[in-house]
Amino acid sequence: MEVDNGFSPIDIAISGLRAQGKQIEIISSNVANSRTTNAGNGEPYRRLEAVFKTDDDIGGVKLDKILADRSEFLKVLDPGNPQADEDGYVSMPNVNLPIEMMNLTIATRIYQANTAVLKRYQKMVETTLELLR
Amino acid sequence: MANFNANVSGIQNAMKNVIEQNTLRRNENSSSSGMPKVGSFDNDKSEFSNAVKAIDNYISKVDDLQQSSDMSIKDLLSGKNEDITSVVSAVAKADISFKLLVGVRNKIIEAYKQTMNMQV
Amino acid sequence: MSSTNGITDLLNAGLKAENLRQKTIANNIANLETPEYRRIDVKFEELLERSLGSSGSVDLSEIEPVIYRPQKTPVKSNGNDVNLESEVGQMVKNTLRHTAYIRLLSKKYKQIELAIDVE
Repeated sequence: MEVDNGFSPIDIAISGLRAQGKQIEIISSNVANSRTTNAGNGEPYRRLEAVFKTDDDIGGVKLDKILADRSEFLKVLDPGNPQADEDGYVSMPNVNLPIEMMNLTIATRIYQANTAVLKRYQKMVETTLELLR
Repeated sequence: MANFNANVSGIQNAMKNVIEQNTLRRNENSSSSGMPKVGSFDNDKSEFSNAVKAIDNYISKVDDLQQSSDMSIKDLLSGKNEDITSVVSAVAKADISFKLLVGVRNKIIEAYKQTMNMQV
Repeated sequence: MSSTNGITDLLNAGLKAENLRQKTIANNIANLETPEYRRIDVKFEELLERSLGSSGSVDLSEIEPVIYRPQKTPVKSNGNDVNLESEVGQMVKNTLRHTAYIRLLSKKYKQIELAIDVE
């Protein structure tokens, strides 16, 4: 990982912002679909998770892949529901709202931290330029 | 728009002229007043030439610093070096040494003017 | 060691390029959601480096900052490839470079003034 480029803190912070933006996008998809019993193929919505890895070009972070959570669907007893199976259970998405909210808080904090890095670095360079006044 | 290199050699020539004329004037004054040439006078002359040599060295140092500051600015402009701090440090160094040089030049010219105004 | 263009001419050209770039960034941000829109950028540093590299001196009339479409960024489903965070990053860099060029120009002009003034 080479860091000889003077503006690389900016590039790295921006890549962090984009990554957390993607993370929040995934979380919002999970939350919006937390009650979707039919995701188009007869199955309920399966929770998605974003995996990040280091970007070797600029040293920032990059979206590696988006995985589907393989944990079991939640089975809720609801015999009156037209979608219930023969035992009266309805399969619900494997989305756990408290976990999604916690992830959202974490992602927001990381986003803010990246913004702070960007702002501070900008201030630093401007201070250096003050030497030329 | 003035080329900076012309300025540096202009200053160099101006200072050399001033120093040489000062030395010449002291020569004339001594012999015309009939006083014997004191041995210490020759020492003063070599001190002057040492000063001239020192200033010459300093001028070429200032020129080098200006060169590298211009180079770093060109690198910044062409995107080769995006590190602003190194450019700022090079430019600040060159600027301070240049200001010192100009200050020395101004002092010498002032001293020359005062010498010229002296009643003999 | 005289250069055909003083450093002030190069700095002025850089300023022109950064001003143009500011406009392209604003245009990109305005078209954040426009379908089939691809982001635009200004080509200047490469032109300058190519000119400088070959001869060490530069004919500034050959180097005009030019707007172009990099076509390098990945495209979203609506054909648009503008990313807000990237544009913000570009804007920050653009502002810093602009300030740097202005201050450097000012320093150069002050040096020339110093050399001219004898009093």
